[in-house]
Amino acid sequence: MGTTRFIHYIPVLGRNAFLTFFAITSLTVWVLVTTNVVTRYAIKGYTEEQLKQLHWDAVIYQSQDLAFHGDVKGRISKIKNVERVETLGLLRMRLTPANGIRIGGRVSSAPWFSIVSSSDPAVLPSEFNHASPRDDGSATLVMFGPQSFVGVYLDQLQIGSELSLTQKNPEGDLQIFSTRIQKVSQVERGELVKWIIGQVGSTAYVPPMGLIAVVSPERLDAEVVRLERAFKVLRTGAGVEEGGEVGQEGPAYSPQIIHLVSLQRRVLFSGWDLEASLTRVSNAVEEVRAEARKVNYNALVNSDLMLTLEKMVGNSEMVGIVGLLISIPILWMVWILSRSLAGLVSLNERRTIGLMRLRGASGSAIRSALAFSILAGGLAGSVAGILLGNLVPIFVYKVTPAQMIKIIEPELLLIFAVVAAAVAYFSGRRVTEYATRITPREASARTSPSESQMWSPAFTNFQLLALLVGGYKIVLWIADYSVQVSWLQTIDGLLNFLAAPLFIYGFTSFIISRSKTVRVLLQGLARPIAGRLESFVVENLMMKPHRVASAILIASLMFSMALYPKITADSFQDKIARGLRVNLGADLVLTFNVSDLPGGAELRSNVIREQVDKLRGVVNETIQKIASVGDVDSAEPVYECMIPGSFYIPGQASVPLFLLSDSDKFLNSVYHEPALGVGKPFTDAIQTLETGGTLISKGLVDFNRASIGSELMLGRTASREQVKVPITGAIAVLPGASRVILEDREAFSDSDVEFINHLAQSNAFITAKLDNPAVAHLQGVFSRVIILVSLRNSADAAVVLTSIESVVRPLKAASTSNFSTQVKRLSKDMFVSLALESLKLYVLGGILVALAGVVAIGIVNFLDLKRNLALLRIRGGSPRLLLRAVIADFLVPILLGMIIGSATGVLTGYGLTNYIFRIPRVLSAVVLKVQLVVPLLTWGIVGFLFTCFMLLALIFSHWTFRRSAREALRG
Amino acid sequence: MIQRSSDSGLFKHQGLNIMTEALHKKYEIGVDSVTAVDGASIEIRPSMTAALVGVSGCGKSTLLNLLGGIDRPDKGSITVGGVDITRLSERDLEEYRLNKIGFVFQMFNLLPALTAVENVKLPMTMAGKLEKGERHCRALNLLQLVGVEKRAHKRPDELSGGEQQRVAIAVALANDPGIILADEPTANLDQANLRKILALLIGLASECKKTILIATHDPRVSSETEIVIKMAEGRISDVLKAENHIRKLVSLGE
Ligand SMILES: Nc1ncnc2c1ncn2[C@@H]1O[C@H](COP(=O)(O)OP(=O)(O)OP(=O)(O)O)[C@@H](O)[C@H]1O
Ligand SMILES: [Mg+2]
Repeated sequence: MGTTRFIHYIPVLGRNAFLTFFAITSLTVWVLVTTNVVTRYAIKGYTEEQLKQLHWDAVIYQSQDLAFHGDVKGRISKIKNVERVETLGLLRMRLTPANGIRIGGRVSSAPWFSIVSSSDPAVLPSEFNHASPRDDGSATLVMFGPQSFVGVYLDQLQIGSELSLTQKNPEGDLQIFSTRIQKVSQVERGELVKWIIGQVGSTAYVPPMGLIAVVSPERLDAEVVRLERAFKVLRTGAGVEEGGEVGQEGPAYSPQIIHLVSLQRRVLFSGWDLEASLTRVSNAVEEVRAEARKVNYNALVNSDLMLTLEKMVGNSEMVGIVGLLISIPILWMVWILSRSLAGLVSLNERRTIGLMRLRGASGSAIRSALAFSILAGGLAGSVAGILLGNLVPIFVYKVTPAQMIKIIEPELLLIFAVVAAAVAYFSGRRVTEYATRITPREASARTSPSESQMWSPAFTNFQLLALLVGGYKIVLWIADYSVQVSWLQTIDGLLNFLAAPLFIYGFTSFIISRSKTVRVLLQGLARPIAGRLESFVVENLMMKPHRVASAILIASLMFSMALYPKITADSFQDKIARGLRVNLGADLVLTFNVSDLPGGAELRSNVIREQVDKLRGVVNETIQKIASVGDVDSAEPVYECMIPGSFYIPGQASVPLFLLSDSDKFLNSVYHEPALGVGKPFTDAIQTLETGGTLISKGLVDFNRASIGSELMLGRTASREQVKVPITGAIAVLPGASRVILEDREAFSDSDVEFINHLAQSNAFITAKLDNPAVAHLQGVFSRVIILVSLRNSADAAVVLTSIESVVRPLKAASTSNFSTQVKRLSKDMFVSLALESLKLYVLGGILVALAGVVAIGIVNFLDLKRNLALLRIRGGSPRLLLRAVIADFLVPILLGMIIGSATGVLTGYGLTNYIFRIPRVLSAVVLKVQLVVPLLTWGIVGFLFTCFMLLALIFSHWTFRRSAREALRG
Repeated sequence: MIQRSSDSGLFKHQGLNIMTEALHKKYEIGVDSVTAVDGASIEIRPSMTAALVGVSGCGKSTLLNLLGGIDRPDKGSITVGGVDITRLSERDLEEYRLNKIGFVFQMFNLLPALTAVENVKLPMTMAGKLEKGERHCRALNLLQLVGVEKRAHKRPDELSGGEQQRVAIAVALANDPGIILADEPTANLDQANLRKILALLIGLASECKKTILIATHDPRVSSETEIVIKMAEGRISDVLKAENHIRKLVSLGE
């Protein structure tokens, strides 16, 4: 048969097919390319942000052969791509009374002493800086620890006094170290920890209190050698252990030289290509390690840069998979859309095809012509989609076309094109098959093709599976439960992103397979819209189940996708903000160091009651002053007292005991949530304090240090008697008293988050009433008084703070924080913002596709409906009535989809937030329940989409009524 | 098989008098214009059956459309039951089409999505006159009247052409209109079906006093009506008693 004859048919038949499939494929490819680029861009931005927080790219720990540390530095600096090397020396010693420190001749009780030096003073905290740059062998003395410890030295120390470390020996004192003190300063232990983490990237043990002597690099070089020798002597004599274990008694020396290395990031790192960057960085780090080991075989090399890159490569793979998963619903919609459009093409070309068949054109030639047009349209569409997909990055992200080629590999583009072509081919088959199947008589007949005589969609096993899998996840979301089996967890995690579309697909299919249910649902929705034509509309919809199903599916996918990212973001933000609120405890928090309070510094007694008697007056007076300030609603103190003893947490020499003066007032002044209580609501737990109970922290419970209902050995009295108190409950956080503040989270790099999490989890504290007789004779040292201030609504915290500061003068708070400024610093969580960034795009693409799909379905429906409407018009139907019918016909399936989709979207948003919090990142916020936040914008989105559909429906119906009744019947 | 329509008690409204004067209707297609109806004046009294005949393109359908309120004339008046419908508002015209006129076309009378009985009910629902139950009853009765009650729950594509046409008549009768306008209602029917439908329409005129106007090319139809209105080039060329019309046809050897 004339194989080439079909070419002649193309101009007659092919135009619509070409255009339609051009549109479908370009849309598909555009969505795929753009989402891909934007995801990569987001990862790039995120990685760069992470890297900015890293001070050093590689860190070499040298704890042996310290005398040769200069050699290590020299070798490392010669390595290619190494930009800079700095040296940090930390010579730590644990002291016993036998080898105590003498300052100005007096013996000090400092349990820890450390000599610190750096080749670049900028590496050290500002408190460590020398007063004069001239090196005269003198040192800056830095103290840290509780005020009761530091306060002692503040009295004794004078500039110029001698500090010496000696070992008492029977055969005469052995001097280990001695220096002149040139400057004295004080640093918070927390700051010290932060500094070490910031520079070195890993946590190091920092004792609760100690002294640091900061010396010049030259002095360090000398001391390294001398101390080595001195401690060797000690070791042989008195059993000193190397790098002594924490918590054990006896002297110990643990020196360390740390080389901080900067690599040439500009050469090694590119945010667009993380994998190659990782390879380059790993090679460089390997070289550094090799060189370091040539001098000191035991040298440890750590690279946060490499770790971060490794993590980001993993993340980007994860994000890629998630992106793929999220694009599935979009492709799905594209598929449904293209099928509708194929239907439209068939409907449009039916008469032409029919006529050609009547005149003797062969079915196969017609099919070839159509297939050719579809294929051509698909190919042209792919090219257009790729070009369009490049536009966004080039114009929005200022990526050059040359970079684009690097960013998106040709293979990927090929895959996209293949996907698009597959969509076009399979949906286009509908048209070509139809063209060959249709008989000339059918083609020329006036009645529409029998799309489906009866309601026929079946509920297949596949759809059942989709429903079950999707439903399973949604039930778990509601029940707030997740799988614990590790290999299932991956699948379970992925399901978080797929559950919504699966559930929607399964559920929609299930509903649609039940014609009675569909009829009832459609009737319910059609009645108010269509009025008297309800039955007409419902029967009309029932005639075309596939189209109705498509419309419901598209609409529900669209609504759920439009809703859940925003809901997730806002629910997440809500929980974080509440976590912050719990941490801060009140609108405004003032923390006073006890040593700064009148009489506080002279607290010589270690017995709680005696100290309380001294402090209470000042504190109450201060509270009254604060409460008198306008806009202050209430003010309530929390006393922090450190109880010595390392029983609670290994390595921690004391545990904080928080004392409340009035539990009811406390509850009224602080922000709290029931979930903060372990086992029972927070309020109930706090109220048990009134009857002499104590509360322990969740950290203590988790570490099996104590259990509710038992007695707690809290400490000892001055006469060494044990103080035992009943444990009446446990709480996760005492609002306002948290030592680990959420605000630190952003400032810390990733490893810090883990560190803080560790702290938060092991966070040990005890809470009791101030007037609890059981603790009256307990020994402990008051360190801080925290005053929690709640403000009247709409009061400006900063303004109130200024007034408070002026009324409490001359007292001065050691630190203040207020919720409104803290919450601003709590910028969007990077992890979530990354995910949302790409989600947003999918949402946009998804909505676009969905709108196109809905319009296509609408047009097909409308073309079908037109003649029916004309007949009704002739029979006396008013335009108003018919308008309502058109709107109903279009809107009813969408409404049904909207209901299903919005509900699923809201659940998904909630579930995803829960999922995000399973990645335990957010400290005390973790114990709070996720509260569903459905922001106003959500309803805005629903309203907007709904309005779009209304407008579309109006446009459709407008076409009908432009004509008179007679014309309508003819057309 | 077809019961007498007067017995059913389904019809209470009498036929209406139709009178047109100097009707004109012109179609403009670009620069061309076709005068489809050119000064037609006719009168049809209640309980009268009239056949509208003439060569193809002479303006029969156009005239029916004008009478049925589907289209508006350019000039002239149409008085139906004493009311000039050319002056009715669009809204009143809808009301007129809904309640006063029953239209039967050659094809596409029924909505494909609805069953026969639902098709019959729809005009009643739109008019909103009867209770739901009453509407259903009436629809079934009408279907019985036209002899297709057994097919009440079938969709149009499951009915034969003749059955569809009879359902269409039931639809036209749904709101008890005074006037039935039929545009070639019998063109694709066999002898038996044609007889049935014709008998039904004539019965409606004689027993229920409806006014019936049928546009047709079929002499079997025009021979049964009371009068025959002949059209040529948009004008009424002749109005004859049926027997005279037959005589003429015979004498012309048609
Ligand atoms: N919508 C229209 N636009 C333009 N011209 C029209 C239109 N409808 C009818 N005509 C023209 O008006 C004239 C009368 O048409 P009409 O349909 O009334 O004829 P008819 O007598 O019903 O013919 P037939 O017996 O073939 O049905 C014809 O010449 C026709 O071409
Ligand atoms: Mg005609």
